[in-house]
Amino acid sequence: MGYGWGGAVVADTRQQQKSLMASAFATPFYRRHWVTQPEEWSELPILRDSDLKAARRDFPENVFGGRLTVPERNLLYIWPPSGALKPDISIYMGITDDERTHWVDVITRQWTVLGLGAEDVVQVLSWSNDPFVAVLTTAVGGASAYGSPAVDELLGILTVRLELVPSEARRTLATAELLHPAALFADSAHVEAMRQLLGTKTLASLGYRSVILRSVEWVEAKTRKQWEEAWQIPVRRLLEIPYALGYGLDCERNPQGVHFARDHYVIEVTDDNGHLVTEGTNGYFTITPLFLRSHPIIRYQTAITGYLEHEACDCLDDGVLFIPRPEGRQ
Amino acid sequence: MKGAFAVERYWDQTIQTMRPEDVRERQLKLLQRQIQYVYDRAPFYRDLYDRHGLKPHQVKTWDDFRKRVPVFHKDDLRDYQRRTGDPFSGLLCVPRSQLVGLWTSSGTTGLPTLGAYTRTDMAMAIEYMTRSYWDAGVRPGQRALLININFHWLMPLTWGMARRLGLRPLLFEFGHAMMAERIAQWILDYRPDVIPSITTELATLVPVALRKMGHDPAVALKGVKMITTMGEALTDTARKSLQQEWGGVTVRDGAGCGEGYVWMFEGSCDHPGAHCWGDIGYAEVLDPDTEESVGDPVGRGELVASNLLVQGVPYVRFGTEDYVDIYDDHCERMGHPYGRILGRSNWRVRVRGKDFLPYDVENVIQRFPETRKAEFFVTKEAAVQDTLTVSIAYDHDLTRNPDALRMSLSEALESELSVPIAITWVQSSEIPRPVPHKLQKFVDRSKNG
Repeated sequence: MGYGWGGAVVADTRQQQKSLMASAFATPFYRRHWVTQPEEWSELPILRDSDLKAARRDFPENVFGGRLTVPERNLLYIWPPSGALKPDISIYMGITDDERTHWVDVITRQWTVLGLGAEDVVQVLSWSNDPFVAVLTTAVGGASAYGSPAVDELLGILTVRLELVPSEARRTLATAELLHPAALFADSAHVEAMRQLLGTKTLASLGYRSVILRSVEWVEAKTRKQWEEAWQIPVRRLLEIPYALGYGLDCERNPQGVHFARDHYVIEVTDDNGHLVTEGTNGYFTITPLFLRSHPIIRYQTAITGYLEHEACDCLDDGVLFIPRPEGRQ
Repeated sequence: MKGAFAVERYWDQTIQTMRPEDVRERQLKLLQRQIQYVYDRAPFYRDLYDRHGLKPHQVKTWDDFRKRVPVFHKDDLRDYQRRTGDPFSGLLCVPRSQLVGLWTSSGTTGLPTLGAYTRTDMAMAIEYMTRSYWDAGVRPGQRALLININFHWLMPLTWGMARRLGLRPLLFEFGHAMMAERIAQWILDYRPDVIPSITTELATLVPVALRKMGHDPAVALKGVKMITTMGEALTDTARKSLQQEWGGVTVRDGAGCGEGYVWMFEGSCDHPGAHCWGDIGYAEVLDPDTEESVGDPVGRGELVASNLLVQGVPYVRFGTEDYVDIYDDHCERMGHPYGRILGRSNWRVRVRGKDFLPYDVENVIQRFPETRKAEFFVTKEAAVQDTLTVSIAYDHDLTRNPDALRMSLSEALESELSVPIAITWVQSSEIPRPVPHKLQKFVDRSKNG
């Protein structure tokens, strides 16, 4: 199944974990959260929303709650995670130019898997403080006209930035009628609003090849199927973990699961006590973005439940798949 | 792109203090080049100029330019788009692969149209904005709150300006009125020095939200040094009121249409009104009914914009439908005219031979606390009318006697505008909003009957 991850890459990931632990322990937040300098990754306490919220109160000197490892001025931009995507708006995120480059790599690979390439037009719907848009388009983002390219420029794609709010569906359709985009990144509410306006026309008749649903909650395979039937177009799903800059794309071959790029994220499944569970056992999805060094998020435990499978498919890097189980732990 | 030469209150002193005659000479040369460029590359211009019997080499003087080069409007672009199916209305002069950013107009006046930036065009647009903010005293390391709208032409400029100036930007979303409390919280959290674009409506509501949250706005907002209001024309009354509510903040006005590259962001000078940088764009003011020049470029009328350097989607003599007032007081940057946008050309209501815009009404009603939010619209009942009809929503918490308020407002408006006024009360929700960040303050009923 798939091709091997390779010993050298595993060693590199370990190295990154070690250096991330060391730099994080220099911050007031992790010094308190971990208490002692950690030796092993698996011994690190997990991180929850409640920890991040409490840190805002306990370390009030900046909006990062004592997690900054670099001067704040080194950040290209800072944002409170979008209210539209439901996370708490009092927890702030930021990104440096270097971190942005890694993140651009994550998304570029996903877009390639989605079959998007040169000459395509892609509509990306987001809130304007949503970091997603910052890496996708050259027009915005920290780079703007002066810095490293974004996903669209790397792939030769023309991106149309639009608002996620369903009341803007008319504008989404108007630009689609002009530009015949290949793909639409949106949430289901917006696509439904578009469908109401379309009448007897279909999304495919406007040129769309697929809709990619953005969500912070996993959309089950059967729901995806229902959307596909209702919208008459292939639907793919992005699972977004905003605090960890985590963006996973559903599996092409196994619609039950989602892939996160393993050279950029450490993906684990942990139990209520924060301990690792064995493969195939249900637990909480726990993520670490290895590239996020400016204000590390380490072993961030989400409320999403599911399990890991190492032999579930033969796509992407090594076939490791997270299979969410929205009904909760068994 | 002369940021390296920035000194004190000049981002680029050489360019910004050019003599008017030098600016004009340069503009004519660049316009001649641009006319040839668009004629060779853009089917819309070839079609337009051929229909008007214009060949680019015929434009040798300013007189040739004014007499021969046709003015066009957004409807001409929509017509071209409908006829040909070209999403860029025949304006695109480069392969699509050279575009790195695409935006749509806000759709205030109909179906949105498309605009786009090449990498070079975007850098120039950012330069335009950066000048004004540097001149206004914005400096590297300062904290900025950037309000944005994804589809808007302004978004790449504010992001780019923040990057160019080395600011520490916090991004926050769509400046809708319902966001006031959230934005107030972010201001408390992040303590910004500058807010480069905030809708006038939202700027009015943030202090109200802070009060509700138990803060004294004058204290909570004391650290904010400058805000730039966008979305609607900023009246003198609103400016004074905001300055007071925001604890003495400097209030600048910003406005423009994406196509123009003749935008107006105050900041370079202390006088009200913003400079249009004449090395990048050329501004004219024409009578919207006759298309005759009302001054060169001084006067009150429709802004007609030409970009001098744009390569991707250039506009030459584009009637922006923005109604502006351009001034001619002396100023060391006078090679670059300055003024402000008052509203849209087609928002004019003619009452007893005089033209009025919602701006004229707003300036008066904002002096009353009960109507300070300026939730209103004026109605055009006929081509010419005897009375100026205004529908206003008042603040229910502050109004004890609506009849007395109506009388006071009528007296103030009649005294200021010298025409009879008819006021109708409406609910706030009855004021049309074509897009979430704008109130529609003009309603045309003249064609109904």
